[in-house]
Amino acid sequence: MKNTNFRMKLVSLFLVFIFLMEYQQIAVARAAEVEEREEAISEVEAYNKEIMRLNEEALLIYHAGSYEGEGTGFGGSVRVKVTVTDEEITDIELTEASGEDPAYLEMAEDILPRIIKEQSTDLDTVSGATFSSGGILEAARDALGKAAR
Amino acid sequence: MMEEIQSRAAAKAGPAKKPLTAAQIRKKTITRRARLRALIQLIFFVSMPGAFVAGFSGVKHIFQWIGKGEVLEIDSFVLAFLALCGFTVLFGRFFCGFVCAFGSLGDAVNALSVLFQKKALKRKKPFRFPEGLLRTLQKVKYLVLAAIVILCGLNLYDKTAGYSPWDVFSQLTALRLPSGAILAGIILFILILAGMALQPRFFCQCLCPLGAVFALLPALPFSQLERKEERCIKGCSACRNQCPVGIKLEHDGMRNGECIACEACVSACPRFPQSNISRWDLKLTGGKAFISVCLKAAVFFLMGCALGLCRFL
Repeated sequence: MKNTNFRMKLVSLFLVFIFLMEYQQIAVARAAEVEEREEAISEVEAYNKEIMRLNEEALLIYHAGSYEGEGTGFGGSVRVKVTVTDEEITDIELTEASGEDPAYLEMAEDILPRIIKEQSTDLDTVSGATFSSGGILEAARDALGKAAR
Repeated sequence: MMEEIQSRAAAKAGPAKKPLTAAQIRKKTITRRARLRALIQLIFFVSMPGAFVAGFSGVKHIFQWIGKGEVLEIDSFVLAFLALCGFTVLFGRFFCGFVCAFGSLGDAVNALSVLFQKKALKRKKPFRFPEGLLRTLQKVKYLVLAAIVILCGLNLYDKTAGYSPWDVFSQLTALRLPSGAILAGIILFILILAGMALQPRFFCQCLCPLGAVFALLPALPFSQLERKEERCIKGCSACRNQCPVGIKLEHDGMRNGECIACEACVSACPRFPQSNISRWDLKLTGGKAFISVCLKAAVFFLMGCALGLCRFL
């Protein structure tokens, strides 16, 4: 046969071409798959990141500092100073309760450590000193309202 | 009086006007062809010394991508490689014979070596590898190609850094001294030059991986040189003796992947300029065989510039 060499080389070249095309098909499909997966991964990562951020933010309740608040007690205004960090109430003290009767006030002051302990002002008032303790809670709510994020 | 002036004028212009003998014409044409080839090689050596590296890098890139499982692309090296392959399919290994800077370097080294052997060693016939050995060594380039392709496919090619004699050559053509980091490459480069001095185109036919690719390409049958055996002088083997790649005419004819289209055989034929060895384009341009060479060189030059292989563009 004429040009046997040429024909053989032509067939070999064709085979090489087929091989490369087949490979290319597989590679393209794989690349698409990889891209899809990477997209999914980055989506999940972004979601996770957002959750983490929200979590962190949720932990941050206050702007750290000391805040004054005012409420109405039995005999007039009651003032407290609340000290908070970003996350919690660390200290609370009465600064003004001149209108309250000392005996009642002493009872009502029990509510201060409870506010710190419970980290809340949604507490029952002290029975017997409802107005004074209520005034303190109101003042604390007012102060924490200023501290809140 | 008039006659005397005329004869004097004739005497003056005498030797020039004397018609050349056939042998003189033949010799002149051979010299001219050789000079033209050297000139084309020089032009390409200066303007596109990195063409062969760029072309072969295309092969390496393809198999490195396969090794990494990446999608194949057509980057500038792959494009250069495809263009070289296309050119070779259309015109035979004209690139090897006329364009490749490494081959031209080999030709220059061999020419110096032949000169030295003739003048200093008084050898009439310059040294060449025995034909059997040469034909065995010609197979080595396929192993080189296979080794490089496999190394690329296994992601191990980077480990051979410093061994490539082409890197040495690239640095030299960039007018930089090769750094010590590629000592192995420098040694190989020197050994290759020594080989080129002993056997014309030693590297191209025995070791060159790009040559291996070209030899495996289905170059179009009519793009290859052909010999009209019936016109040959009995017992003449002038073309075969001239062939740098030792093509055995009686067995593989001229349609052989090893032919680097240097056309040394064309002018070696004792019937030259009506050489027994020809190709359609040589026939077409008749006695002005240089036209086809120049055209091909011009086509390649334009293609090379378009591919960004020219260092001045």
